[in-house]
Amino acid sequence: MDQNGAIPSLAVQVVLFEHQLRSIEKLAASLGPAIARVRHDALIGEVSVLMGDSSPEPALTDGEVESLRTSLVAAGVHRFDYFFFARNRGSAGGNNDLFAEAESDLVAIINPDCYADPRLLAELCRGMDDAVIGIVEGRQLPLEHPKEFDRQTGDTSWASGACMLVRREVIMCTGGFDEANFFMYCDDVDFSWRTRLAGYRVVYQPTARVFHDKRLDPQGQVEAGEAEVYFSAEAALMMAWKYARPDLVEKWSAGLVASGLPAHAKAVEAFEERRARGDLPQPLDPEGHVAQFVGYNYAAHRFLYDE
Amino acid sequence: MTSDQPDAVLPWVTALIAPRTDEAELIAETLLSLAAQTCDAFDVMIVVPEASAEALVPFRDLIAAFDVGFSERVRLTALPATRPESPLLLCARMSEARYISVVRPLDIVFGHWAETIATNGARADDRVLTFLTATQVVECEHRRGDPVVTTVGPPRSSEPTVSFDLLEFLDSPPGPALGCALPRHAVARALPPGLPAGTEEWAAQLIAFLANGSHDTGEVTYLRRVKEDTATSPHERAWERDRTEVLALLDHGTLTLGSGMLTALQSSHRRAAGERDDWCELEHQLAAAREACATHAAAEQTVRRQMEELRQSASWRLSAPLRALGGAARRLRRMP
Repeated sequence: MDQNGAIPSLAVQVVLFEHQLRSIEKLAASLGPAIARVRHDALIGEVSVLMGDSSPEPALTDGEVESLRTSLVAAGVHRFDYFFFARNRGSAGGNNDLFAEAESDLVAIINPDCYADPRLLAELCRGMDDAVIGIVEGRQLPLEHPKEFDRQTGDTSWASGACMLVRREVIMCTGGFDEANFFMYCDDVDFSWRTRLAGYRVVYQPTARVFHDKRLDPQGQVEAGEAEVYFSAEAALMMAWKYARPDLVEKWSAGLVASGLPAHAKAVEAFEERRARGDLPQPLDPEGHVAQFVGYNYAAHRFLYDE
Repeated sequence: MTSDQPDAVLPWVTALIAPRTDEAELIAETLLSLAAQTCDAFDVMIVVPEASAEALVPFRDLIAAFDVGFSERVRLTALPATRPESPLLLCARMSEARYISVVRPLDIVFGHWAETIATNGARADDRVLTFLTATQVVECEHRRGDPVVTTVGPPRSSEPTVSFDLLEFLDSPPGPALGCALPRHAVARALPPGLPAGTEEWAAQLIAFLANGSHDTGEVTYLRRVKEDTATSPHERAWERDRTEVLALLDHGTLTLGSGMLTALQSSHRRAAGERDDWCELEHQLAAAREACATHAAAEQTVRRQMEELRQSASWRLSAPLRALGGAARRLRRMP
């Protein structure tokens, strides 16, 4: 219930990009029990599920959309909509488009390669137990994010966009994700930091479990695709710039170039082109109230995956 | 799934979980990881030793909370104390899958665990499938009555197996029966009668390896989670004790290996050692190549920066009309 005693409504939104029908159906199947549970516990009133598709061709046919709608409605969903964007909006732009469609008090963002624990939504809602909490982050399995959080309050530096619950007021006052500067990595870090700059708290809820299909290579390192290597490098430079750390821009640029990876060199080139055009955002938080740069991370970490 | 994978409806593997009666909450995340599999070619058997019907209730509630597509593939069974049968043998008798793989409470599997077993099982001719396990230290606490597992260290993968070495595996397995999928028929038929329950499981594992050989999938598909305050769980301690007993049975000749098994074992050990040496050499070569690439990339970037500085310099801008004039003169000379 919110502070007025009303039961809030919830939209669950998912941005697709060339995902297989099977993984979409799998996620939808896992959402059924999670929605039933959160409604059973009277934590949420109306629930909608919104899927936005950034693929070059629609990932779902009309029949498949209808079939998903039927199964989700049977699970207690009041509205299911599928939007084909007809261009790649990235995670930031895609989620912003879905924010505009959602009419709910709370919005849950879930990656399409996730599978929701039956208690996921209920636990996320339980974490939103204070009006100053703007974002609640779920715990990912099998590879839990190692960033530090306060064991008593759950407060953390930022929340992963793989699974988070956001208060509508936060979307209204921050304007959502910064799609002009972040395509698909660090959009969540930036969104979290602007949420905190607006006076809200970002908390981690370890009882809200979600399985996010990540893998390890035989050396025990987290597998990263070419796109991840490129976009995370580009986003890192943008984060350093946007949060008033030009020293890190220079240091990281040099490090990325020295790595020898073509994707890294390309990311540095793209950033420099924007700088040359004067196309970089106005830096925020010059005194570092919320921005936290620890090594190459945006929070203190309990451990590093690439140790 | 890739095109060479078998029909997804076949239960290629049964995940066997054998929790104690007080471990229902420990398997919540284990079940979540199984429910999230990228391929449906598996089922799950939860065998709770020495459990009354009442003790099964929390397990039943846990299973029922998942979507029907998953919960219908989970079988829950009690193993009465009076029954001298191990969970593994009970599973071998009741399962219809080609393989059985033990999944320990608290541990989780990666999303492609079943897919890896199905894909490799299709071409493994009933050999034991091995996969890599990563070990991660966690702490467990209760918050508002709910169990909370928090990781406190990175996952450590067992050494990359260039070639699976059975001797090494049996000497220091990642955990009891972890990191492998055993062909169900080999488990069911190979055991001599009268062995104690725990010993039976080690013997089944050993005999399945020796009789059928092994096939290394090379994939990290299993995450073994160890509580921070305990190096080994009660499960592991019991299994370690049983493993010692089965080795003693071998020493005393109570458990005999088939003819040729030992020779096959020694030859596979030699082959694995050779392949590991080759792998080390290739790793050195790869590191040297990467270093050379990084040096070249840095040099290229320096040259580019110098060119850009030159282009931005005042002298370059001032001399631009002269260069344009020179270009025009060259073009004029080329004209007929």
